[in-house]
Amino acid sequence: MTPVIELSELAKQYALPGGAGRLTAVDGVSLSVGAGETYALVGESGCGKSTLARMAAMLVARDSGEVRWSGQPVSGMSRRALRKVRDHTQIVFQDPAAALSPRLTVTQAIEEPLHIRGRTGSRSVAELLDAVGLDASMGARYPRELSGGQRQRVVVARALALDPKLLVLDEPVASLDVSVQAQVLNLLADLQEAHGLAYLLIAHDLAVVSSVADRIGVMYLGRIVEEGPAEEIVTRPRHPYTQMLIASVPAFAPGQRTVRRTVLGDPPSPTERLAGCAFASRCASATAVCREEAPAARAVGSVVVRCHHPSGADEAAERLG
Amino acid sequence: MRRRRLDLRLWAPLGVLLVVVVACFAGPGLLGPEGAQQALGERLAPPAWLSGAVDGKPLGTDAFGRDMLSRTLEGGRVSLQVGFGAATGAVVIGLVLGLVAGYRGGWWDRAIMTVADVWLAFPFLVIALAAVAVVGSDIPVLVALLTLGGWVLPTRVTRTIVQRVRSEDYVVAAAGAGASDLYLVRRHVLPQVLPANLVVWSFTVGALVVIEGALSFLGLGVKPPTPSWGNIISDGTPFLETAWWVVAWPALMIVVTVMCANALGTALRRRWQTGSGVLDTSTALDTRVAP
Repeated sequence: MTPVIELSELAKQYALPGGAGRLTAVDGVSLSVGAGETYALVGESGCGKSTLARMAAMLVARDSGEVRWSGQPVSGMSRRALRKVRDHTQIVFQDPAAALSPRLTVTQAIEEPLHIRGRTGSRSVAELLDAVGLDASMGARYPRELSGGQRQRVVVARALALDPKLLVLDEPVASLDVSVQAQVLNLLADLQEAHGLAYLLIAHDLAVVSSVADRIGVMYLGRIVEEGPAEEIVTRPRHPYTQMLIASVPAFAPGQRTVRRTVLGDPPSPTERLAGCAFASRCASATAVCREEAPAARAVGSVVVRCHHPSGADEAAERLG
Repeated sequence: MRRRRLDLRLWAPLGVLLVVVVACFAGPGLLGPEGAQQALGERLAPPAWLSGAVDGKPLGTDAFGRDMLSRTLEGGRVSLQVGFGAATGAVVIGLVLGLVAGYRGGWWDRAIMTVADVWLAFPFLVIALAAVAVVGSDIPVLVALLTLGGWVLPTRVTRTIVQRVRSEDYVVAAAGAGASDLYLVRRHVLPQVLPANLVVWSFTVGALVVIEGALSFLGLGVKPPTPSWGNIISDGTPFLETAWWVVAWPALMIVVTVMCANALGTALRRRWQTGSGVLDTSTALDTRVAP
């Protein structure tokens, strides 16, 4: 079956102001998300995941690579042609306060996509509000009269108005209270089931992601360094960076001690081009080859990892041998 | 929306401005043509409440015996036409250039903003002086000249707002739903740009009325016998010690007009900023405890 979205070798650089070189935000990322699937992209701030999210939604132009929506190559389309197919993929932003115009009521905000596409009246706002668990009486309110969780529900309702196949969720719960985060995540899970939606979920928090994702891609400095089934990534991380991310999730049971793999320093600047593995400078198990040669993607079990020394590889080899 | 109480800070200056405009354009006609006629026997007569006043000339007369009331009102026609006309022209140009610079960005932005920067570096009064010497000083010329003197501020204001609005998440979301540039400008950008430019327009009217006065005072405004507030003041300056009223009335009109225009601008800005409904509590410092 054709994936709902397919990104192949996407790359994006930004020119730094004053001609001070170029910043590599996304560096050859390929991934695909199937119908009804949740693909979570995790990584720390500045790793390029938000840029990738916007590229997937065709809101940021790519330098090279290709974006295909349900098999249709949209990255080469003219702006005008693209406008007509945009209902395929809609985006939900991190901060629902910024994602809603203070001048529009809830009803006007939700109707806007329909209005833009000349499809006003094809779906009722009440039905969309109901789908996201809001009362129809909310329609007359302005965003400032709503709570953070309610606003994010409105944003989701607006994204659903055009009946998309894919929602790009850019940190959809990061700005919400912890008690509300679970509600919104549950809502998203329910909607996925009801509409068969595919999700590209961007997050920096593995704890949020592990419960809802089918597959996880770990991003580091513009590249996906490890990708595989969510359970596999969370329980048996192969890449030292993934291990570090998982170790940084706080332990929930008092007395339970996790061995902390401390983070060594900051990530290198994305404006520099490195010869070897981008993570080598922070990696406890880095060797000479890591600093000289960029690791190619290789399969270890059901995951794909870009590392010269993925843990678990040796054991797998032993078992086979 | 709840009904607000009548906001006097907005309506008072607006009302006074309207009275000034109506008086200047309708007043001299109602007073009759004799106000503009010279009456050398009644030179420099004082206002009605001083001894030596002349009947039918309540605000006194000038050095040619002309009625100061109708002179002052008639002089307002030029000052107001130039002030309002040039401010409107400047804001319209600024709106267009600011939209292009802010929305298109890139080459257009650099070109327009470079011209704006260079423009500000020129000494405007000197250029005005040269231009008037070459092409004369009719009202359309003055309007065009002052329009060219005032377009930079609305351009910058517009560009800044456009740049901010077009990167807002809700505008990106609308673009992501398939909105055209025209839709985004009409629906999201203009509603924020227009009120801001109304504020700029109001302040610019005030500033340009003063500049017009200065040009006329220097003899660069409309040519006599057409009065303007600036050239009446200029004509009256030699008699300042003996007949203060020749200078006082047009000067008072300039002060009132400019103060009202500025007060109107301030009131519009207050209304525009709170009208967006976003109360940013983090910047709302209580000045009583945090000066």
